[in-house]
Amino acid sequence: MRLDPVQGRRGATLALVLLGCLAVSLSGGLPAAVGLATALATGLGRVRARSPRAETLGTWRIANGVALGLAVMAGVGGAPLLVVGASLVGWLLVHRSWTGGRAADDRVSLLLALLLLLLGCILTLSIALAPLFVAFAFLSPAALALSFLGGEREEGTRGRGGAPLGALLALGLVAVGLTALFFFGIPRMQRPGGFFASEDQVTVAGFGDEVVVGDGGAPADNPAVVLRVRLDGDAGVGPWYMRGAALDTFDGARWSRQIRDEVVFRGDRAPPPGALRQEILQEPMPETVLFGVPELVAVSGIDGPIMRDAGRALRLGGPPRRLEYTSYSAPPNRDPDRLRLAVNGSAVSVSDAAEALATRRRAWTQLPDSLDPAIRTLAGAVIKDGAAGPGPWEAALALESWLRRDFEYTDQAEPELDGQSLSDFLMRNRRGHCEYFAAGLAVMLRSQGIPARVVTGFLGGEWNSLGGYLVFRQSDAHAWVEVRLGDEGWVQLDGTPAGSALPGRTSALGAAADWARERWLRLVLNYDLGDQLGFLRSALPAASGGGGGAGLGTAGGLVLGLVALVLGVRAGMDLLAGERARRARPRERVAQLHAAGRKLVARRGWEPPGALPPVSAAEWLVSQAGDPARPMLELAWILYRCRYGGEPDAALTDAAREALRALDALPHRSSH
Amino acid sequence: MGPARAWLSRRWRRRVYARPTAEGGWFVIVLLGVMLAALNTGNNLLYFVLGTLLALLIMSNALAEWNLRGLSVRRRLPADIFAGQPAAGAFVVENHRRFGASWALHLDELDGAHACAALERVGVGEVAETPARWTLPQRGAAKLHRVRVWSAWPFGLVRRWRELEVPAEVIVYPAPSSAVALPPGGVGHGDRERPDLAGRSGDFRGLRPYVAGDPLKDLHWATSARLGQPMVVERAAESADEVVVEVPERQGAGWERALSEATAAVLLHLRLGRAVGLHLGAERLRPGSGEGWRRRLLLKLALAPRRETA
Repeated sequence: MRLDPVQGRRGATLALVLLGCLAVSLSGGLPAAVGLATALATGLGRVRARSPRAETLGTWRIANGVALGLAVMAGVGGAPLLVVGASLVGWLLVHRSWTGGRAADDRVSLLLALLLLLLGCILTLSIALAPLFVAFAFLSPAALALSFLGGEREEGTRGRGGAPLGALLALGLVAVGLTALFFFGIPRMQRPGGFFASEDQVTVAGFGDEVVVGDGGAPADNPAVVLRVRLDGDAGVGPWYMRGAALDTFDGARWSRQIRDEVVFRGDRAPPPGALRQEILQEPMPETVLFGVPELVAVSGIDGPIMRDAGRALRLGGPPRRLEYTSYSAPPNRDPDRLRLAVNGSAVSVSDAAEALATRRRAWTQLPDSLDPAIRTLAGAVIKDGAAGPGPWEAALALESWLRRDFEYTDQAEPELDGQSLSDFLMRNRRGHCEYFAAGLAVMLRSQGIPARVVTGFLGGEWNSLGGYLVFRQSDAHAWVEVRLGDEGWVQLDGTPAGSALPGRTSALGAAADWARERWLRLVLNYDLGDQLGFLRSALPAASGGGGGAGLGTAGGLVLGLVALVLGVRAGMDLLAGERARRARPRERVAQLHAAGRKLVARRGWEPPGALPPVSAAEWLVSQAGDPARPMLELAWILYRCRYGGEPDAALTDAAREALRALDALPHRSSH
Repeated sequence: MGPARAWLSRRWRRRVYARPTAEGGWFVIVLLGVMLAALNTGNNLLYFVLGTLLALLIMSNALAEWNLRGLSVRRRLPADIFAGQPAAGAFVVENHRRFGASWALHLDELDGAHACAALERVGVGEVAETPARWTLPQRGAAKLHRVRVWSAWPFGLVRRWRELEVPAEVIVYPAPSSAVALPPGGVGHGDRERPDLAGRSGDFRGLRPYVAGDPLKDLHWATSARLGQPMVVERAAESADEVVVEVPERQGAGWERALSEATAAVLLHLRLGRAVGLHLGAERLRPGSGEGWRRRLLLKLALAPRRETA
């Protein structure tokens, strides 16, 4: 089956232009309007597909000038540059589709469509770009080849039938394959940044370094995914607490982090045997905290220094970005007897500096002066009634049990609970969401002199059976408490009587959609040098010898680099040979003037068939354009006299220049 | 040299040239821009676009090279070539490959002659012919050497070419001068008429050696057999007009101009059906006619020694 080059190139070009428009439209808002308007106007122009009259060309020129002026003004006026750029490119596409139907116009349109696609890449990272990219890679060769063939025919090459459709499809498949090869093979730089750097959009809200009690309802219904966690196969069934930050200071309404001490975390050390391995894909969030099941002991896959704050949260500097890393946790194996024996107030490790720890301990038992004294009384009463022993651990357990038993969890917005104070929660309503429970438990513990802090993170999640990982959404955000028990350190407590903290299950459709997005994020958006080295290690396990991954990566890179160098040298030699061959020809001023004449003729819309020699082409031109084209014929004969007649170039230059000047009177074809 | 080394050496020394087209230049600029943006931002979507652009560039190069492999070129040269005037002939291209047609081929004559032609497709094992017009600058025996086969297939980004050795030799006749015209009632080139030699149409005038193009019916078999070489009968022209074109003795450009005028005169009179003779330096050719005679006269004029200005 064969494809007509003219119809085929028009169709393929239009398809690529529409792909570019769609790529811009995916980001929504104003770019979407620009993309759709461009698609509509370009499509109409293509359907119309006839050469413009000479008088309308002037109008188009004015319109182009106006469009350019508007774009500059909008840019100077502070409009988003990407949107301005997309609008300008869109306008140029519309102009091209309404004023030109030749192969050269289609090639320009293809370039503009590529620019739209690039703008789409910067405007959005949506997974919907994936099919657009594949389609673009698949259609580009066909569009370029058909455009090239169409151009050849326009220049007079006699064609026989159309282009073979099968070969064009094969070219498309090869292009897709090579694109994938290059995408995965081009070595990645480690650190993004710079003028064109497009930051990932911050999709996580409500998680940060403070919790305002009574203001936590917003994220409850938010289904935005925050974490995707792939656990070791023998990890068990949960519940999984993904610990984030710890908050140390309470001002009566808000928990915040005031102790800002940070130390460098040596995350790259080998994890202890039996540590729980978690591959985490984390969406950008305002405060970049690394997550993991407590206790987090090692982290790999992070580029740059990791800091550990006083609340044992791991933090990264720099702008918000999507992260892909592996956390290793060693869940503490608590001995109930040792916890029971832990003495409150002796929470000083011999290895810690006593003074600093005393300062922190004061912070960990800090309470505002404005705290309702009834809370302290209530805590004492609960402990007295429910504690199984005199120690802080029994006191903490008594308070936790009391909250779980006598309180009701709700994450629904209710007018009577809206903005309720901690006192109202503990002594009157006894209903609220997790932040009330965490704040209430921590405050009651502190009121009894037991160091405690509020911890934020995620709990529960959904199990994606297709991808084999846990999905934590913003609605899974949770707050709980850690209590300091002497040498035993910080022990986790959760007073929230949640219905079920075990992971739920996603519907098949939802699981498939999220799995596709997870693959998109892991294999495309977050693909980096670490993945490339990992692939090399897995592809050549014998050669890697276990710990020689970096060396193997270097060796692989060297081999690839050598191959690229050889191919590059070869291509460069071809190019140099071409350049030398070009320069070896004598410099002929007359030939240059003749070439200028051909260009002038082309600009006026007259294009003689390309295969004709100079004089025949000029004769063709005279037959079409009449006497005004005679200077071109004269120019062609001057060229012959110079090139083949042995007459010196310098002697004929003036005559050629005069003929070129006279040729300026040649009218435009459309007005002829 | 082992076969692998020989193959490598052959591959390395292949005479293939490359040069980006104008579109290819823009393409490379865009590619470099995307590469810079990708490296700068770490945006993997830009790496994807970069991958597509690199794929297109690699495919363009590889297919352009493949497109030129296994081709042979011949010329079907025109019968008459006059200096500086295009003469119609053809290039014949054959695709010897076992797989894959060649697309969008262009052929250029190199080394002092001008001829160009284009072919859209030459299928596997096909022989395709495309018309071309040869222009050679000077009269005389000209040698043609190389033909350049080039193509920007498949995307028009890179123009690749090979220069094939296709040797040939042609005789270029002097360019007929446009100044020669038939005056009313006779010839107008300063040559003398030979009315005394005029005879009845078809009258026997004598015998002369055969030259290519003479009609076979004019062969005089008995004499040919006796002398051991083909001889033809010369007859008086039908119009009874006989003309001898005499080339005046000049030097340099004047000599070449005189040859051009003589060529024009020979062609003109032969076209008018007259018998034409030629006096060229010491050489005297009696009037004759026919295609063979025409070629003989033109050959004499083409190969006349050059006379440089003292």
